[in-house]
Amino acid sequence: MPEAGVEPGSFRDRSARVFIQDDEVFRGLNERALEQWNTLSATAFFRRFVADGGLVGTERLDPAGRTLPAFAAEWAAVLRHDRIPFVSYPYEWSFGMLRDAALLQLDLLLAALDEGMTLKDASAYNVQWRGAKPVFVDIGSFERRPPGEPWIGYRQFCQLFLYPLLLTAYRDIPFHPWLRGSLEGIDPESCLNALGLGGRLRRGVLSHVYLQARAQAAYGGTRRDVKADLRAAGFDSALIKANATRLRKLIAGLTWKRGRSTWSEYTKCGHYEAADAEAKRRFVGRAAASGSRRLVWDLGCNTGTFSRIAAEHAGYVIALDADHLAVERLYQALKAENDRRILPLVGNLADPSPDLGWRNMERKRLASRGRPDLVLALALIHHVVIGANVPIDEFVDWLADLGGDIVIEFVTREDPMVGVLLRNKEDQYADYQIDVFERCLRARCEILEREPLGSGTRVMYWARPRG
Amino acid sequence: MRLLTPLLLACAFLLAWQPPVEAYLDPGSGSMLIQLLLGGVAGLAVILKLFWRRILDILHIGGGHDRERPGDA
Repeated sequence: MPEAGVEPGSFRDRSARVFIQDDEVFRGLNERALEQWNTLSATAFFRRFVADGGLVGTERLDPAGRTLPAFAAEWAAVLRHDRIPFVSYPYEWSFGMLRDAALLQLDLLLAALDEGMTLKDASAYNVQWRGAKPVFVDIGSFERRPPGEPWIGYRQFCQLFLYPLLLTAYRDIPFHPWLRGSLEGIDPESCLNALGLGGRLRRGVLSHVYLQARAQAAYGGTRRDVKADLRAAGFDSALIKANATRLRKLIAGLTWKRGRSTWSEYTKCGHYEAADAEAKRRFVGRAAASGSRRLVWDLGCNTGTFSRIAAEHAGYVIALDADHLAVERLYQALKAENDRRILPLVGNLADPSPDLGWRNMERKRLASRGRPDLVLALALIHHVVIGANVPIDEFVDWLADLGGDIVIEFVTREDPMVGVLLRNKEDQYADYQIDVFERCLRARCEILEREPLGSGTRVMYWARPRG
Repeated sequence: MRLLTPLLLACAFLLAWQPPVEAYLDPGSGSMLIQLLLGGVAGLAVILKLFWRRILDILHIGGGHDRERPGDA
């Protein structure tokens, strides 16, 4: 788990700071933030959203009887938040996840406005997940709405929620690389260019993209105090509500109509004989049920069949796949089931989420957010070694370095899927042999169980890293 | 009518402010102003009021007042 101390990504808002101690999450508040918390905690919407799970459970801490880090004494008050099982970022979410996070943000804004409060920002990073349920975590974002003030977070909402969704819905442009490359999101001008002439005619583009880009170009450098101008002219919360309500309708109606992808149909395509599939399920179930499995990673999860098996025995499962459509389908299925234990994420092991932001510490790589007790790497190794050219010993080393048990399925060269991968490539993969793989695995791990599947081209391993 | 209203609002909106001047970058100003157009009917009254204040500013008639802050340039 992350080390105790100040959360390095929480520095932007000077009125509060998040820190972690003994696996618990705290937020120090200055006097002003404490006043805002006192207002927020007395509202009906706060209680309603916390009860529903859309807002992170939060309580003010009684400092008596607790040993907090010395720097906690600098704050006027300390809150304790319910722990989110695993932190994730918008560039790892599927389209439906980003859309539902956006809707939660708008619902909270509308509810807050009804009770005289507002959200002072609209960062997509303020939303986290419990399985398929979005949870807003930045309690410090709520404040009493200063009279006459517009929605300060509108631009940020567009850049981090609306524009990525529009690009994917209207142009089938994936938002992940863009958001990963730009933590502030997509600016209006770039979004407009990417949408193209045809895209400008689509719903929401004229008002939220085109006009905003033009207004930004015209008034971004104005010397006028725009906030004061608007306040003097009587800017009312009814304007924010009207805008947020229309945005909500627009976003709720956005769909990503991609029909199929390489892996979204994988389990339907009959790559497995029924007997093989059953043996594989039993194998994974045995490994998952053995010992305490607080966190499981299912790498190359596809439609999540084995994530679900792991979740029967584990505290929490990260279901990771590079195929956006496969992850989107898994998310929609989990959402329909009201799941809280499996977090689907879009991610490519050969091009993984890096450490990003200020000092490369604001957003973290996967392993820095929680190491797994068990890693599933089923029918994945040929994609990593042959598809992404990663040497087999490096892949095994990386798995072993994660520290948890490993369940790995080796796919032999005789398997048709390996043939497909090699079809148009020069075969430079002398290391892609089962005996080389086993030698690498034994060098780092104790092999607890080995089971060839009936097809003869796949072998299951359950291994435990030494030391 | 659905198209006409935003267009009229846009015209009023664009007339209500002075041309841009080079200063420190304030990336939120345009986004704040655009919210008047997105605020529906409620935004119209605010736009008209801003428009009226700008006319008074330009004519140097009391009631409107220039809110440019010293030292911003």
